[in-house]
Amino acid sequence: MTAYDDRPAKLFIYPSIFFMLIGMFVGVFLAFNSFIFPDYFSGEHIHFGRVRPVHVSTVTLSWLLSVDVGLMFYFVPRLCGISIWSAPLAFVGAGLWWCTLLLGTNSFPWGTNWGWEYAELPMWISWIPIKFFFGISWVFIAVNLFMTIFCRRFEKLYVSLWYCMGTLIWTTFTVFVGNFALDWLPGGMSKVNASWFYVHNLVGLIYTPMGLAIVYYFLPKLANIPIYSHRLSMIGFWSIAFIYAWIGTHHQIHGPMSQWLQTTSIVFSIWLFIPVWTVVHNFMATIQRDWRKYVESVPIRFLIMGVIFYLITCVQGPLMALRNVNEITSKTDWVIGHSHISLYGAFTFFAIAGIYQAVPVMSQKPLWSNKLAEWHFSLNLWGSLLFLLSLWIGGFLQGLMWANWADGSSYAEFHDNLMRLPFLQTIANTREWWILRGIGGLIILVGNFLFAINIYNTVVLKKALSPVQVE
Amino acid sequence: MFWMIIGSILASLAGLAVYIYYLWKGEFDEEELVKYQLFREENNE
Repeated sequence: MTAYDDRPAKLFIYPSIFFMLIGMFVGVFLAFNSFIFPDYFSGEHIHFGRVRPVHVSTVTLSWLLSVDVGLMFYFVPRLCGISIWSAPLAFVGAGLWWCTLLLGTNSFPWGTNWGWEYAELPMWISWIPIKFFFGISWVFIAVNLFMTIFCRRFEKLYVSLWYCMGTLIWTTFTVFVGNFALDWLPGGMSKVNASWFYVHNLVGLIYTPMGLAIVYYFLPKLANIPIYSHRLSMIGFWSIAFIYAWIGTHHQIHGPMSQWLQTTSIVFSIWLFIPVWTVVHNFMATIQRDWRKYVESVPIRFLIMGVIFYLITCVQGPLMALRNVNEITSKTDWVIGHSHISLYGAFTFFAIAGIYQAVPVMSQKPLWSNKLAEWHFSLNLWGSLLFLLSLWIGGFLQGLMWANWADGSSYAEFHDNLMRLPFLQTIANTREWWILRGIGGLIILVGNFLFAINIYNTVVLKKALSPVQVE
Repeated sequence: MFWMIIGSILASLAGLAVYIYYLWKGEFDEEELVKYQLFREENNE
């Protein structure tokens, strides 16, 4: 039996759980301090514009990207049948990774934001080149995982390895465009277009393949059922590779962007139904062989609910790209709901399931409390539903209110409509939905606090068992 | 622009060559067998 070195995986997974709590706490703080009791705590360093990037960067980079990298360090060696190519390289990569993220994401209250969506990490903090070090750490990670796959013992590549290789290449390219190349592009719409290319590919070509790689590995493993169709999974992989890079421009529909480019992005957005359906059908057909596993296993429940949220977000996304739907939903809270269902409802649920399977195997200890895991799932599901439904319904009503202003054909009519329904009145009308959103976020945070306790106690308190007992 | 188009075509041909090489090597034969790799005895933790 191959001895796997799990220290690199632990170096990414354990801290990421801590940062998940920090990032979500900041999100809940913003939900209350900015939308329910506006500026109850106020000051230069804690107003919305300074703190929001702390929430976004902590949950996207310090939690989700980090835990996904950690899980890749866990399952890539196992799918290759060899230990990780270079543990020292992984240690150096992890060291650089956490130092730059710790400094970068917590420096925003002091005004270091680079100014572009999801690319807020500063170029420099004092003499420290934050983005450069973060990029170098990613290169170390990518080289290490690629070399592990290159030196593999099992000749054929399982679908999770395809997704891993895809994401290693796409992340390198996407992050380079969004974090460095933006500086070299001409100002105006070219720069904005490149920024949206980056933002949408961050979700579609980084978190999506990482998340799907996790499900393709952990669902068969946890359910002890092989995936329904490997051929179908390959169709999904290559269609994502072909389609996803074209759709970033759908963020600029009705904006000053070429109409042909907007239409192209809409067409490719609708084509996304192809990879999405192959993925969802494959996962559902796998678990359909034994639905009892869904009831018995908390991590499988996280995976399947994540797949359902993935389906919802992938139906929402293409529909929001249609011009007439976009007229209502664009710039409203609906979009915030859409981004949270993908990064939280789908990909965070996948990562949590991965942790539930990987931690007992890595620490050779059974989970500390299954009861606590049950509570974790229930609080996450109900909290997410409250959180997401309030954003969707509130956001859609917000969009309908704003659509009143466009009722007419002259500026005079627009001005008259604006006088009848002032913008601030629409903000006040949305407050009830924001209260529900805040409560939903709080429930999720409590659930994840229980999760952190469970994982901490598993690693620290439980006695180690033999590998067979853990299985 | 000319060299960008030439570069793109060459990159595409390189990708196609890699695909044909692995096709010839049998990477895509018996596609469904690979899904059982997860459950191999030697692969179990």
